[in-house]
Amino acid sequence: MNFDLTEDQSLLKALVERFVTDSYGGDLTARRAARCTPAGYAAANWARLADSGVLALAVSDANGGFGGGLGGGRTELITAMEVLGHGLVAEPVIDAAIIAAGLLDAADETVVLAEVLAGTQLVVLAHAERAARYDLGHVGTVATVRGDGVVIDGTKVAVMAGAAADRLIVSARDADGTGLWLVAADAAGVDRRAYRLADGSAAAEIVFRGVVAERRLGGIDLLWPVVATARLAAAAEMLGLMTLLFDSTLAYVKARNQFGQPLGGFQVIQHRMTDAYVLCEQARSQVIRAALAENGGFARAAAGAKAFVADAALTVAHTAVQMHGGMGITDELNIGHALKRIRVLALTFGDNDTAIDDYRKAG
Amino acid sequence: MDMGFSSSELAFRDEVRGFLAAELPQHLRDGMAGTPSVFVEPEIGLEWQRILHARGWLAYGWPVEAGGTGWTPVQRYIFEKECALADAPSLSVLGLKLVGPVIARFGTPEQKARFLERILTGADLWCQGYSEPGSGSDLASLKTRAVLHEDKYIVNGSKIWTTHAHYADWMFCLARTDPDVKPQAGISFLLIRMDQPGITIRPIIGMAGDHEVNQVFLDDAEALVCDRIGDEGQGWTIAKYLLENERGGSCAAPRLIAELERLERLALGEGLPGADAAYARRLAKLRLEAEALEMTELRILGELAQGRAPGPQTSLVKLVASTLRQHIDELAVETFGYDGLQMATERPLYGNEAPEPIGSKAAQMAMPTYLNSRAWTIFGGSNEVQKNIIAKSVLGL
Repeated sequence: MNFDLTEDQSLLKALVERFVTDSYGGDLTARRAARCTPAGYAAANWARLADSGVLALAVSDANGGFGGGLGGGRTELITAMEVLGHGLVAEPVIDAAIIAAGLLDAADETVVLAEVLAGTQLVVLAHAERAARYDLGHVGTVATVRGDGVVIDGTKVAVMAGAAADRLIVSARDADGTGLWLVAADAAGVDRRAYRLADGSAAAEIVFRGVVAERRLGGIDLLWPVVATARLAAAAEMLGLMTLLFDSTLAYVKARNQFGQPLGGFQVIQHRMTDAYVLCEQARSQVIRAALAENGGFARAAAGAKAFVADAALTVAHTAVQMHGGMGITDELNIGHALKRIRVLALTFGDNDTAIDDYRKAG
Repeated sequence: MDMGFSSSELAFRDEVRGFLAAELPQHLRDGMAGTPSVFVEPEIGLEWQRILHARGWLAYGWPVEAGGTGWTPVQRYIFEKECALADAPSLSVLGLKLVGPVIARFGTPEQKARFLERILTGADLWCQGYSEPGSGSDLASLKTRAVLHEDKYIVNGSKIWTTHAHYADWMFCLARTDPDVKPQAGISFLLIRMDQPGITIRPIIGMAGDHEVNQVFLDDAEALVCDRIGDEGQGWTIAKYLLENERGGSCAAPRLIAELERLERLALGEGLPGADAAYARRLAKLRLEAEALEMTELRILGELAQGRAPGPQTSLVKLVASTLRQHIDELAVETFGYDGLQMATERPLYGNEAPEPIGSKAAQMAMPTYLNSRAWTIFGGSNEVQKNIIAKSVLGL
């Protein structure tokens, strides 16, 4: 019974904290600058994350990673993701590293994977469709044989970090069921409309019209373990964000004076802060629980943790806005930025009902 | 991070399991399951207490020299968890968890010799004289007055919410011995015999029809000076020690999880009408909260196991566990359709004399359990007081 980090895990934590301090320390200036780029993040930061090995968090040892997704190493994953969340980092670690690198790893697509881990290729998943809403199993996009190759037809929405992606992993129905297809983002027939999400990230809606795919990575079944890892990563990032919100708000209610005393002197404020504190601790427990789950129960635990933490994080975020009063609704504090990031993460691979259903049904 | 038990801890768990399988009789499990209240009746509790005492495991929360087992915090957790999963009756909080450790810590050798063994054997049953009609959450304002007269105190006042006073041989009582100092400093910790003319007990019947608590009137009741624990004026310090004694870790979540699993089996397994996706999600959300609490308790245990003081998380366990308990009991009432509205007036709800349930035993238990569990967020310091404490001591507000 020991919940301390190992020495190596502590070093990883310190490494990511150092990245956050160097790249995002101080105020929101660096975050704003990163978000203002067409890609929605800073290329220099991405290169540094690649150098430090953080992009390999969900990659198996055999392919050069920490093995966060499959063979353990989930403690490393949640440790790093919490720090990145607390630092309001703009780089698409979940989309391009946890999800895409995880899929390339599972498919043993080692050449592309190496480029992803080196930070020289941005690969993201194009899976969601408007008609599917949050049903992860619903795919309307089709892959059909034409001549020597296979072409993709369909429309993908909410392609996270998709605005600047070099390659896409596209889910499509094909002769063998539903597959995941590697597609060059600049291939003929790719019509990409970039747009911003609430958190300032650069997503895309992409129409595929007879786009020639590079190759099939595997069946859709490759995706489910990656969904579980991504959900845990999202939960850990939200934990970092809610801790940031809580710490900022606690400092604020101690410093801000009204009616001749600090806001924190009023019992109603004390009770709301206590409620937020309880949610932070309980969320941390759920994240740890999922990270330590046996492999057989991991998908279920990760879905549950993500649902629980998303709910708690949104509540804490709304409390934080309320406690800050007028300042809380501005774009000038980290409060609003954290709320918006939680909003996006809360919909990672479906809403709360979707995650709850996966949690209760997965056995 | 490692949330597992060591091989010796697992061996201990198996030993406890084996003991429970062999020694915990079915009628005691039924007695626990058929008790809507937090406290089991002495007829159930004492029989279980004797079985544990014979095994030497009763005083596991006490110092070794007073009869404790010397278990590690992890062993204590394992024992409590296995007992909860086996539906073992809850142990008497009043004697075993409250006054016993106090006498072991602050009592004179004579007091220890007179009282401790009789708590373990069940020869003496205890009740707690803390709250008063005018002093609930604000306990330090208590007015019960004890005036020294030769070798005894003459005690006047009234205590309320006195659980099992109608069974008790003794009351441990906070009384004001000095009205002229600041409130906390004028309180003493007295042990008072219940079978004396100065004691009158008025039953208070709960919403569910259970007689569990009482009001106790003290009219020139007598307490011997030799039955005072600690010095005069030390009562508040001793009362606070009781609270701190609870900070040795807790094991609330396993029983809550077991109850949620029971509901899940009943509602979803047997396909009760109305157990649809919305119901299942509600159940799943409560389970996530209970699992989080379980891990919070394990994190506290992890600190203790590393030989460190438990972190601030201890303060939130009661808050979370009590609220969660109420939400589970609310869901249970709604699980059984209209059968959830029945409320048997007979007691007990176990044994041969128990009334026949309408529908199912689980449905019969739902309403009284729900009504009783409204007390969880009130006793032992209301949740509002708990939040005040967390805000002050943990958040620095």
